Amino acid sequence: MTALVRHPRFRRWGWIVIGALVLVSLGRATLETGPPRTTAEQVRVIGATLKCPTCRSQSVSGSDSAAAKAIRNEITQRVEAGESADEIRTAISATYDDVQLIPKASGFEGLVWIVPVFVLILGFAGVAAGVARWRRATTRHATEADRILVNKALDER
Amino acid sequence: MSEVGAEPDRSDELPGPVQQGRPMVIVAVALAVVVALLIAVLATRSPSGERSRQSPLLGRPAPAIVGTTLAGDSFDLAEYRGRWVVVNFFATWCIPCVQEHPELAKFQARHAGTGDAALVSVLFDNTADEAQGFFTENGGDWPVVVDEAGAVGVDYGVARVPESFLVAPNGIVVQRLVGGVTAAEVDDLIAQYEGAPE
Amino acid sequence: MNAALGTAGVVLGFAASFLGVVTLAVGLRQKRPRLLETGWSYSLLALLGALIAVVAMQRALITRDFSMGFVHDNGSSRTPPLFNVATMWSALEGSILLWVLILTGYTVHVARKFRARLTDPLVGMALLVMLVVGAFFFLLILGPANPFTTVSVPPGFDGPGPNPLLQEHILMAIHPPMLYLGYVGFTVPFAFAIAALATGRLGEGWLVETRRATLTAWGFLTIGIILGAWWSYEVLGWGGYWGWDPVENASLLPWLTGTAYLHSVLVQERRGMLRVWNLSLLCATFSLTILGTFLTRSGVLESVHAFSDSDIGVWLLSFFAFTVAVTLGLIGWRGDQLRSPGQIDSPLSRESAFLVNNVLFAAFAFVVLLGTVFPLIAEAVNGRGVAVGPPYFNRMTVPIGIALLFMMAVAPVLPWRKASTELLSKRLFWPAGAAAITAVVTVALGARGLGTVATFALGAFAGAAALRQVVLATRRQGWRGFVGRANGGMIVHLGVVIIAVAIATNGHFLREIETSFEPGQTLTVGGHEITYLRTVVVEERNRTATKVSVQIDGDRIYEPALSRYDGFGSLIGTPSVKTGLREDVYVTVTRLPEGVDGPVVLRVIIQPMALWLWVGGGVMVLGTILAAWPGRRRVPTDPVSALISLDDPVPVPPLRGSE
Repeated sequence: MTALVRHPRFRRWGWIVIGALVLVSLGRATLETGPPRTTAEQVRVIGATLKCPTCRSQSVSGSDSAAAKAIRNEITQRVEAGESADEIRTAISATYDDVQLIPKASGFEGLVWIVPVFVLILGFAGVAAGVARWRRATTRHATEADRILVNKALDER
Repeated sequence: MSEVGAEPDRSDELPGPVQQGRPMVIVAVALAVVVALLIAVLATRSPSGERSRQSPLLGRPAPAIVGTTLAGDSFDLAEYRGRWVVVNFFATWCIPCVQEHPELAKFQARHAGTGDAALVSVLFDNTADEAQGFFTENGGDWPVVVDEAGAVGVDYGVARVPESFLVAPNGIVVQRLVGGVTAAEVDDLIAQYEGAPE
Repeated sequence: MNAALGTAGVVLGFAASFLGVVTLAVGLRQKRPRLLETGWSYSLLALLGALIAVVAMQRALITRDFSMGFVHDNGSSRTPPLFNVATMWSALEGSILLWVLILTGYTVHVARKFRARLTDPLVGMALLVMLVVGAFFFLLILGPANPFTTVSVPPGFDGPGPNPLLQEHILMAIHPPMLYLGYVGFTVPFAFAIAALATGRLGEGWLVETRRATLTAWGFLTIGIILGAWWSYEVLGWGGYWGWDPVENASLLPWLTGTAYLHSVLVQERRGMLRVWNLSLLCATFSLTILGTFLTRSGVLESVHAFSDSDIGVWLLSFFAFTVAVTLGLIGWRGDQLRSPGQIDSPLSRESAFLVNNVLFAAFAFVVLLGTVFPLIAEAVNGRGVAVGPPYFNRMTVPIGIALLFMMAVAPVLPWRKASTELLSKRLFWPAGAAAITAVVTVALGARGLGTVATFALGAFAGAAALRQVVLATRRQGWRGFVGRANGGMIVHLGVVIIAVAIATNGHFLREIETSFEPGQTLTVGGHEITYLRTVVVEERNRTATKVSVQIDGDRIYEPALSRYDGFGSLIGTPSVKTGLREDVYVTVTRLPEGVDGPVVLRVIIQPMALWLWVGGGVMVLGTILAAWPGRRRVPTDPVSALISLDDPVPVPPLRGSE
């Protein structure tokens, strides 16, 4: 058994099976949708994208302030009336200023989305360049002084 | 870790040549500029509480207020067309609202006779019982609309009570007043708008 | 009397810190060891000053001395004893006092640990830095955050008490001290980093010496963050534990850079590389604690956790600017000298993995920082505020978190220097198998969404990789296989995996319903029977609570409540939680009944695996303790373990006093 498991061919096939299982599962997970949501769950999801007007960055779902409670009631009524999430968001934005919690993808607001991606790419490019440079670093051999140093340290152990 | 412990250390290699130039200075200066800009932004921000009396409602028809008052009568804002209306959002648990109350009473007393302006309070996150006690104790004979679900508050975009909206005789919202108001302040505003041709 | 005593303590602390700074600076400049030795006395005096001030504060709180400003504003005779003690850190002034106490405590710890080496310029400089920070915070107490003002009070006066949200749960009494032990703890490695830069000590000596201090600070910060999340969950009543609120972000930022440091420092210890980067991470961690304090205390951002405003903002922002200027100045000046002639043998090696890990952590911290301050930036540029909230943070950080989980699986099995794909295939085979099985099983159980299933699979991958390391280590070393940095680190990884899986499960399988209950009515929600019994109004010492009795699964009675605290406005909802291994039943009151027999509206949330969030936190802390466990370790700067440059102008200092 152990011999079989250790065999390179077993492992190669094993990796293929693992890869296939992971791909199939992830594919299913991505394409299929979960069970329908209750009203309260939909309210939580929609409320999470709207800013509580008395708070700086908390969402309507995340706040217990009076205004957030009132807006939650409003969302609940509209969800029960069959309105879509976007319709509800638009309706709430009509009376509250700057209530959208998701920054727009365009204009100056778009920077908040783009800059981190740029920074990440820059970071990886930096690491790649660093690794490339460090790999090129020439290797020199130890001098007698180094060996003495190492031996001394080893003796002290 | 087994792999690590077992691995012989090959410290016999000496480092390569030290790089030329001073890239660290450049990086440090670049970072300093970014942080300086950030600090400049942060330093010039006013405390968040002092912001925005804007409202998307300004210049638009006032949202309908239809409901029952504390006294049990029915109320409809549409019936007040032709008069200035101060729509005041109120809660008994809110201290500035309680402080504002005498000013509202003064405003009401001043205009109850002439009938040129009216006052309506809408309860915000407050039950009828709690408000009833307060008005019995502190007086106030203007309509107080009960709005337990907060629907009217949401229609007006009320964030934090006390908050008041000034509705012109033609039914258009002209002003949002955040925080407590005084009778004089509201009268001045009305006079201002009356003076200016619409 | 209390106010005078407190002020005396603060003045003593400030004077000691200030004089200490001057004396040490002169001593360093003129190379006078006698002066450097006084660092110990000044540290002690500063601690004494802080202690006196804290004692005065507590005495005033306990005796309800309303003539003292802080007690007048935050104390109350109705506050229960435990929360009365905790009132000190419920408001700005008192929490700065707590900060100072912890900071001076750490300063004395450093001075004591290095008492044989006080004349060493590196230690002298580090103490100097700590005393500078101490002097600044003492100054804050004397200036904009003075709790020891005196007010005249009418007889029979009673204060409002601390914010009701802070009186709801025992966690609030311990969460801030933990958080501050973490925040302030990072001052120790920061001080040594600055000292290393200023004295030009190129070696790794300071790293080793601050190793345990860094780990301790990180551990406390972890505890603080987890307790904060737990408090949110138990008290705030919205059913969540993390809202990407500015205060939460402010605690997460130094944690992220600190975590990056804990990993990248290993590369420096083993390979002598990344010296400047590590110094920068420590400086960033410290600066971010100051920036975080500014963001949450100055009132430029609003937050549920920020309970006070004052004009302290200018001070904190200036100190932040000062810190950054000094740090960047030093790095610009010394950085190029410090750069080590590093070498990497292969992109497939543990050091490369740590580099990738650091890019990911840095990007994570960047996203959190940008999202937190972006509303202010947008307002400055456009004149219009933009809200950046949880949807943004989730969308940006979940992919980074998933990438980190992947790295967490791969990095521990990678050897230093160079790995072959054959080796990886061998070591990662079983963890990958576990990941594949997990993916299949969770999808079969109904999990959907790429992020969710990827988290489960990668969680199994990383967890199995960490377990593999622990098993190998214990097989080889017995119980010692659990202790030490590498082994303890694997336990921390297991804790992180538990938390990641719990977050994904909770987010995906959470079920919520809001519905009306008649008295005596039983409804089944998510397989749990919930019976509404009655509503009782309870007059307590400091609040009027309307408690709703609910029976869950025929078990004991749970009492979610809506309370109104004396002196505070709106109703505060308190959830009641039936905790379970599999899932919690979380009940809050949405609307109280009109009369005695009226229906009540309850919100019931089934929170899967919520308990495991805190368990995972506990495992992380356990791992941290194991990692810091004293034991024989390789000393990285000794010649057999790391590259040293013979070009070093300064010899590596002797390691007396190291752990």
